[in-house]
Amino acid sequence: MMQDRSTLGEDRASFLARVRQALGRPPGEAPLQPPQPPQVDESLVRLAGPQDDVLAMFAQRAAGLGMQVHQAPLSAAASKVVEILSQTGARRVGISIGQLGQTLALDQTLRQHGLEIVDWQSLPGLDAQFDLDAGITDVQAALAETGALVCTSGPDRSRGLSLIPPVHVALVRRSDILPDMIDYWQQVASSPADLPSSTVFIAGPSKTADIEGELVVGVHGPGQVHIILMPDT
Amino acid sequence: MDTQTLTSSPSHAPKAGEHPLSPPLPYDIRPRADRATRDIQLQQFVNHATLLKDQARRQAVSEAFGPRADDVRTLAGAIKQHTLDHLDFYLEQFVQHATAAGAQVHFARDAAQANDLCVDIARQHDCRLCVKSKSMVTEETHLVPRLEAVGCRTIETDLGEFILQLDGDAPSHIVTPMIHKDRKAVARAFQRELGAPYTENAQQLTQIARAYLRDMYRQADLGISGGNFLVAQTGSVVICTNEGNGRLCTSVPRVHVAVVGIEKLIPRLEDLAVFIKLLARSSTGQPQTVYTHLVTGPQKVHEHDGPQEVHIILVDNGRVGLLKPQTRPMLRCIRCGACLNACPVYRKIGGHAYGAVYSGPIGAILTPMLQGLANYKDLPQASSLCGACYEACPVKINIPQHLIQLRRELVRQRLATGWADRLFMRVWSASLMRSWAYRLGGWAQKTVFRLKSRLSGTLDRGDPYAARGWLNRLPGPLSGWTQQRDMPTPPARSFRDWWSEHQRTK
Amino acid sequence: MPMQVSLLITCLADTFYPRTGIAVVKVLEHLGCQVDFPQAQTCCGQPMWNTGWHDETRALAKRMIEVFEASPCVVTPSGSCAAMIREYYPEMFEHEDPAWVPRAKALADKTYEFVEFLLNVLKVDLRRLGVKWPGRVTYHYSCHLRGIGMTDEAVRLMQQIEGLELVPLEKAQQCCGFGGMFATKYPQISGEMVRDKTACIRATSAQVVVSNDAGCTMNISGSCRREGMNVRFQSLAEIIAEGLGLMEREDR
Repeated sequence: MMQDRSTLGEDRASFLARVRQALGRPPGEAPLQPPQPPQVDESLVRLAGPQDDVLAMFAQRAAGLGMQVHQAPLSAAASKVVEILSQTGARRVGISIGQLGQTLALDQTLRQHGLEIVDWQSLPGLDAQFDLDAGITDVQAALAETGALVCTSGPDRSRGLSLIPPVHVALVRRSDILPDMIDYWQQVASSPADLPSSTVFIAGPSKTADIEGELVVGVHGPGQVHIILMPDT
Repeated sequence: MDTQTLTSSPSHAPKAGEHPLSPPLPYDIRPRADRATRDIQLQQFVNHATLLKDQARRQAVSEAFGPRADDVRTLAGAIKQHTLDHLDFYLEQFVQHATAAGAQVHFARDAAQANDLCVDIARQHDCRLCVKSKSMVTEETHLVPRLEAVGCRTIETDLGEFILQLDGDAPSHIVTPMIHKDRKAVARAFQRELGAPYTENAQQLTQIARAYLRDMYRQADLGISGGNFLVAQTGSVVICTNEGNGRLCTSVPRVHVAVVGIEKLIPRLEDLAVFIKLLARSSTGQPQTVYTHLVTGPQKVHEHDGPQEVHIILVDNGRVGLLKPQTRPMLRCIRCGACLNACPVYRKIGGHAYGAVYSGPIGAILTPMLQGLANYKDLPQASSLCGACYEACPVKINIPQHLIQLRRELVRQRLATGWADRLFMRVWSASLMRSWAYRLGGWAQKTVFRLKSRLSGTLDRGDPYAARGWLNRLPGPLSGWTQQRDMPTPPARSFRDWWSEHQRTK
Repeated sequence: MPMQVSLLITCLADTFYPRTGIAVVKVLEHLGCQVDFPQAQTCCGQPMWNTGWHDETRALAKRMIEVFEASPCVVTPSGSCAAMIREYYPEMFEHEDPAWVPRAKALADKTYEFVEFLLNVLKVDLRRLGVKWPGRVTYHYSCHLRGIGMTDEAVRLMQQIEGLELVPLEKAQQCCGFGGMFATKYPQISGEMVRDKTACIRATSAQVVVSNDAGCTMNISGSCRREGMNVRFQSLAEIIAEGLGLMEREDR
């Protein structure tokens, strides 16, 4: 499958040799000692910590980013989703919410209300998701610092549902909320090699200000992002 | 640098016959700068937009970090500088981890190699339609016309870039590429090129683009992106966008190619926290861009969607030449555009006047380094050295200092000075070495200026230390001054005269 | 012991704005400083440095370092010249003449811009001194104050002056377009920049513009005159000297 492309690009050895030379390294290929990068001083960079009311902060900042935050107990989450979908006029939806599915009985409730649930895992590719009216996802994490959602790809998680349909509904539990982006990286740092192919921080609906600086929402991605904020139990 | 890529003009070349970003060399800034200062619309848009963005930056940075904002910038600069100081190590580490994650990493020495690699990938997969998100490197290499020449239609998907592509225009700002265009131009382009009904409503215009582009994502078999950061620790490419086109281009097509400059490396994921917090705040005043997307290899075994193949092309294209200690800090740049927004010169002349891919203060130092100082000798000189760029820069690149460094090179290589300039400078600095000569010079200037203004009848009488006259026309190199404003004449007596008197009366 | 202060007048103020220098001396003497003026001083060399003539600048810098070597403290009514000495003097000898680095640093460490000196070293309170200056002014922030880490010092001092009404200037942080040779070499760009500044000044309807750097003053006042505006330019040193009754008001 892979062809030898050495004739096209530069080969790795000579590319790196040029970099080494430019850096003033001695000739010859000495083994590289891992350098010590400057420490990320949390007292400078951290914008939210465990002392903050992360739930309130997340809700407030997510709303500030233009996402619509709805608080609901677990028992009412499914009907909240139905309410949102009926307001947006959605008919066909894709769902990837992992374990939460059983807890919330979301599929059942949605079907009862006449919504068509499309099994995204059986779709041929992401291009088929362009016909969906809404995508419903859980999140890997959420950040109080900015109000951003963290969505990842995975065996039971689609890259497309938070991106392609015009409406994205994200289910966030209290325990998903981390204070700061620093906390997320610390969580991941224990096994960086396990990073999924896609990790995305979502900080609002898709938007642009390219035309005379006027803000327009819903450019390529979802124009509406709804967050259902739920307790853990 | 391959000369072919410098002279080849894109298929959307403007009617005027010269591409805004690759003009004939050596480049003379004056015609375009003069045209820009007379262009009322450009003055309004660019001036207004940059001022707003600059204020938004100040507010966002100070709200987030308060009095320690400066320390955060110092930290970010130090991390970037560290990475560049050990670029060999981090490149190796990145390649190792990206490869382990399943990406294919390629190296391009110059623009031609980068383009060839893209073309080859497109050919191998028989790609017919490419969706592309914003990337400054591919502007450097003129990738789009190369792909189109081999039958791979390539659509710029960033709304601004899409409009520029339809109009055969080129970006004039790193972050807001069509800052120089108004909604009427967009409406005309959509009507002409897409057959859309004419509307000046930004919402409707965006919807027209949305419908068109979403169709393109669906059909595309190749996605090309740039990258804001490369994380050595994980082999990830990080792409920050507001519109979502970056995510679509890197998710929907079966092949994704990221074309990224080697200076985009950072060591660790935790460093991303620093840069993500600074990038959008510096750029637009947002806490972070709507989407911050980490691409770590292609679709994994148990994943159901995402590209089958991810290629990462690491581009030199002149960057290795900037690794020498004096110019290395220039490579810290994270392309946030804060220096453009802060720059009073950029506000007046806009991006195209810089005659190259990178405009504004950062362009004024990068372009001469990447494309030759002799080709762009105006860029380091056309600055008042006010320092607003340095103050705005989230990675603390001392741009004024680099500008002065380049001016010194201009003098050394005798690129910007004639014999008269050299003679004048020698005489002037020699006179400043002797206080009698300095006083004589001051007296002579005063006498000539005052005589001239007396003849023109503008000389005031009164306080010998304050009353002055005005000149509205000066000869030679000073004519530039009076072309725009009057020149005050010195008062009758100097400070030194007063000091002697003051000492006597004490 | 009175504080010993050496005045670095700067070449532009010496010739074009002597009244600023006079005001600086009068105010400092009023505050109990003993002011001297080393006659051998000429120019800090910034015009050469900024245009890339670095060997010539080094020669001038050495001369200035020698001229002020005996002074315990140097004060100058120009952020621009202060920035030249503080930002660039120590750096310019690093590779070429390292023996001069400590001497350059010594000068850098004891050099102050006038307003900075009043506020941070003498810690004056103009209210307590009874400075009165009735009038409506606006203030131009000169860019090179950035180089020495100054922000709103002048504004804070002006707020302590009785009767002085300070009208904020729009785009206060934006360069006036002087930039030394830049103004003559790229007149169109520089002209556009200074007209932006004069338009903002016009909008304040202030009669006096407080401007503390001679370069900016030459540029902006020249543009105001070309645009037919009737505004006066004064340095803060003059305003304070007038407000203390040390000088007659210029408009009287």
